[in-house]
Amino acid sequence: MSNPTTPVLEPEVDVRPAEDLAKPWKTVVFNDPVNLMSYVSYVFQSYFGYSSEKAHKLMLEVHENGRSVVATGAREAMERDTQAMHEYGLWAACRPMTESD
Amino acid sequence: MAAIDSRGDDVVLQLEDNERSLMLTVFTDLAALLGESDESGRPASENWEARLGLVERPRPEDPALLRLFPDVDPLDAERSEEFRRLTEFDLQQAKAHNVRIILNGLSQGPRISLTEDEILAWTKGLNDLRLVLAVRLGIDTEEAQEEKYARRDELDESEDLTLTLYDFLTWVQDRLTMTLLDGLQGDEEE
Repeated sequence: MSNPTTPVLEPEVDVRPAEDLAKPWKTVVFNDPVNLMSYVSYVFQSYFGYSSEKAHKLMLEVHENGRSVVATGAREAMERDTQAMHEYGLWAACRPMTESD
Repeated sequence: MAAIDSRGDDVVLQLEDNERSLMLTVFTDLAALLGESDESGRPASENWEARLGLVERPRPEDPALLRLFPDVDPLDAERSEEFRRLTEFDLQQAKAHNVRIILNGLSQGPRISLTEDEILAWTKGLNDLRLVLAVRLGIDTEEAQEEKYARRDELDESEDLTLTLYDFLTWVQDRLTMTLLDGLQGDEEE
């Protein structure tokens, strides 16, 4: 039973606009001279569960094009992936998808 | 010269005394660098306000720390600031944990036996240390890296030693990563 005189703390809820939830986001990995090709390939296989062929292709894209979109999806999932890439030491960013993607 | 052998599930990293003492020094430095972002004086693990994302976390001014703790999106300062406040504590704890595993291994002696989880912690920690050394050496692009090696004869003694250390750490990280890749290959074949 609740006591109506007890002050109740209302949680602060950060409401994101509906279009923000529907809009797909992406995790981008950028090239840098430090990360080893073997290591980047390993991270893509072990974290995302990609096949060695797909991981190798994405790794080459990062190496040759300077960047590669390695995952797309809801904002929260892409933020989680980007945080994971940062834990591995890969240079990654999470941003909304654009027309050119 | 260092050597890495796979023995069943474990991997043995064998280091010369000078290699081991050098690695102890530089990873102790990395532990200090990672600890510096906590200014409360308490052990970082007890900093509940930071853990819960209740305190502001300023964007690092040291470019090496910024490379270890990058913006979630360099094109969006506001979102990066919020993300840093909510997640940087956990990232810092994860990186510090990897370094602790490495320092613990290095203190075992010249023959360091590593489980798969430990190898993963070592490769991440080696990568973080290489990121810091690359920033200190001014290696921020592949062109800058090529130029650094091309002009190796002109480097001063301390920069030359840092580059030698960087190469050594690259070799160890690459070899350990190969054992992780072999492990994945084994999983695929099963």
